[in-house]
Amino acid sequence: MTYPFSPEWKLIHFFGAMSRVTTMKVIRLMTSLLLGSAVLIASANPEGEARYRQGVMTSVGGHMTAISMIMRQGIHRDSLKFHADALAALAKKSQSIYPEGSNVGRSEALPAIWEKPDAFRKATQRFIDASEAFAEAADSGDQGAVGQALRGLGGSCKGCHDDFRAKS
Amino acid sequence: MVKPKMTVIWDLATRLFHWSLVILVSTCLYTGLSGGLDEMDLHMVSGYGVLALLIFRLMWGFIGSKHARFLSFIVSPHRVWQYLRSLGNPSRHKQPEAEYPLGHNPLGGYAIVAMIFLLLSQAVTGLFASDDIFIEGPLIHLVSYEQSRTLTGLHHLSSKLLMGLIALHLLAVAVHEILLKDRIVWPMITGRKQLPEKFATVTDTQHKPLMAIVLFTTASLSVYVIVDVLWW
Repeated sequence: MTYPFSPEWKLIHFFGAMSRVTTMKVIRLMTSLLLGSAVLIASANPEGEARYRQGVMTSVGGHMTAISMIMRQGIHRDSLKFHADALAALAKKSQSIYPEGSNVGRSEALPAIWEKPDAFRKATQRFIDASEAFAEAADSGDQGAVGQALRGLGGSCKGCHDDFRAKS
Repeated sequence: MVKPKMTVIWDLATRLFHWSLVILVSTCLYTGLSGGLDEMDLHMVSGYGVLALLIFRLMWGFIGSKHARFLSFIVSPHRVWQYLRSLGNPSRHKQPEAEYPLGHNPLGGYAIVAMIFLLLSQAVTGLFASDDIFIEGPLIHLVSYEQSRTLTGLHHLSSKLLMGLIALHLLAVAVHEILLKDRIVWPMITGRKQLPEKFATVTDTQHKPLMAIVLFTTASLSVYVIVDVLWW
């Protein structure tokens, strides 16, 4: 099929009518509109954001509990890698699940998260790095390395909780 | 030369209790404040030890030897006042036998009550506490998430009160040893205290070792039930 029926053809025709610079401008405009609306949508639903974040962090806690039982009770040892990988994947979300304006509802997130974004970013980066190091250690199967990496992981949790989570 | 009169005031079990408590509570404070994963493992074990010691001490306070009994050192506030006034009296060592505190003095008795209360609150709240990372008390399943958060908060609060009380305790020991010239540390090690000349006869405290062993075994078994049988 050719023009006017093929959508590809339509697109090429649309941009082809403009100069290269204009095309870039249009693409840039569309991209920023898209990103802008994404931010708008994000902050337009603060309760949903807060609840989503709690879901993610509860998952982190769930995998930590599972890892704790593997390490302490010596059960499901072959699932260690699974939980470590899941944790590393969840950790990557930690920087995007606290959008501006989502400090609402029943939450233990401290305002410091939004007041000190650089420090918070550093703390979550530490979590990301530590969870990756733990996943690598779990893959290696070296018990000493696993223990060492787990200490680092626990430290990264505690470091962030100490500064950015309501004290119990 | 007359040999100084010595008498056993602290039975062996009370002394072992005291110094074991010193070691275990120090371990608990160090590990709890550090909060690391390995440290917290040790924190929990030493916490169970503290709980066993406290359960033992509560029973020992009723059926232990004379100066270890609650009824012997929990006295009326009036006696505490009398005691405090007598401290300013240089001839206080000449007071009648009945008024001379051999075991805990009237004020110290209340410090013991406060200490046992705070330690017990630490040990019990710890059973339901969580650091929300890797460590949770063995009875956490018996309470809701919010209740566990509250109990964890109490655990942290009473740890601060406990540190204050320990500081006060050490200060009081220093005051007795240095200002009042009343040797109290050595008797807690050897059990024996040197008495003022006034005392004609004082019966030595009985150790009752078999009773102590039975009670401590009971206390340890109770803790075992709490942390292992009732765990989930």
